Amino acid sequence: MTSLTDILGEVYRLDYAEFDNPPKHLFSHRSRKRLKKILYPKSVSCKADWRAVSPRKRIIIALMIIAFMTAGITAVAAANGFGRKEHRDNTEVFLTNVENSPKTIEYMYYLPEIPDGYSFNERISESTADITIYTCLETGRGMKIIQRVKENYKSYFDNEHALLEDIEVNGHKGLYLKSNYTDLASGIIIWDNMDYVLEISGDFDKNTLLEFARSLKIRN
Amino acid sequence: MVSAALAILETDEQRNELADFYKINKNRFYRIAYSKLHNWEDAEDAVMDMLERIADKPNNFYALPNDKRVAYATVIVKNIANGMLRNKLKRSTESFDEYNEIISEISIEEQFFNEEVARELMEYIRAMPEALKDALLLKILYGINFSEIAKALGITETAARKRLYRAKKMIEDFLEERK
Repeated sequence: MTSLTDILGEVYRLDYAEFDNPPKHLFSHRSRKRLKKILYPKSVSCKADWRAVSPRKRIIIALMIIAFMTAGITAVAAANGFGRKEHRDNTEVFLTNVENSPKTIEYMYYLPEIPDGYSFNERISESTADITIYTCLETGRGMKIIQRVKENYKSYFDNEHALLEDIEVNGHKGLYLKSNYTDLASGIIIWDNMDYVLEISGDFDKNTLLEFARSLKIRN
Repeated sequence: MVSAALAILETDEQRNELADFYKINKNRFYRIAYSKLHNWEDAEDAVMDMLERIADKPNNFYALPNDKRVAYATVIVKNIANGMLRNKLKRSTESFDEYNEIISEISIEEQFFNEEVARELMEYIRAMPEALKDALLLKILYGINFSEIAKALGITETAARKRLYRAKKMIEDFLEERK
């Protein structure tokens, strides 16, 4: 035996059977706008509006925001002479202007006053780089002065356990890195003196490193 | 009126649920409206009007189990399309709502029918005027009260009661003739 409810259910099913599996219709822009107003009126918070956006569009918008933020960071850094790209666990540092810079080391810098407790250890000279190493007699820890040609310069600095800060050496833009790693130098300064990229690293605070940097002289 | 409707969907959950419901079933609703109106713009408007009606009185919609929500929205969009068609064609149709009658209770919901009678009754109901059939579906099949049926169909509560009464009367008369 069949109830009226069952009969009505069958009536509905038969009446609308032709509309099962309908072809896809692309609703007009006007209707899509109206739909948004119905579901997410202006009085609703931005969070609800965001939910109205399809997942695909959300991803695209998020990628665009990330790209703009990256470009913004790069643009800011570029004004300092160094470009920066932030990666998950490191900062890539490169030069923004290498035009008219020497392709080889044509003159070299030296530190006129060696810090107390340090002595000269070693010097490595190549066509594109010059490295001078001093060693602390008490701790055995090193201090380095590195001079590199600007072309193809790129360095990677830990940004999980270190801080990068903009500084200035003799009117030239540079970066100061303070590291929390104990097995590496606690401080590094790099700067672009128009011809070369210069770097001083050692277990010194920022101001001390800046004094060393500003005191460098060209060898005769 | 539209701005009042916009304020009724209160929670993000309600909005998202209705948005998902629309996404899954929009083509079906569009086809139903188009089958009446044969005009894509009017059909889209009918679908949007249906959503506004649901948003205006969302409790009915959210109180229904998922499998019945489609049927509920289907009846609404079809009624809207019929109304738009009537306005367009300026066609006067029998108005069940103006029929002055004394509405008394007719109880047929509790009856059961054998296979043959059920089949014949089903065909009879399918051939009923849509306005009456929809009131029957919404009240008996979906258990929606008259106030909410009125909102869904865009009519007064009295008109909703009259339509249901007439539908039940027709069924009662049909069963009486078969005896």
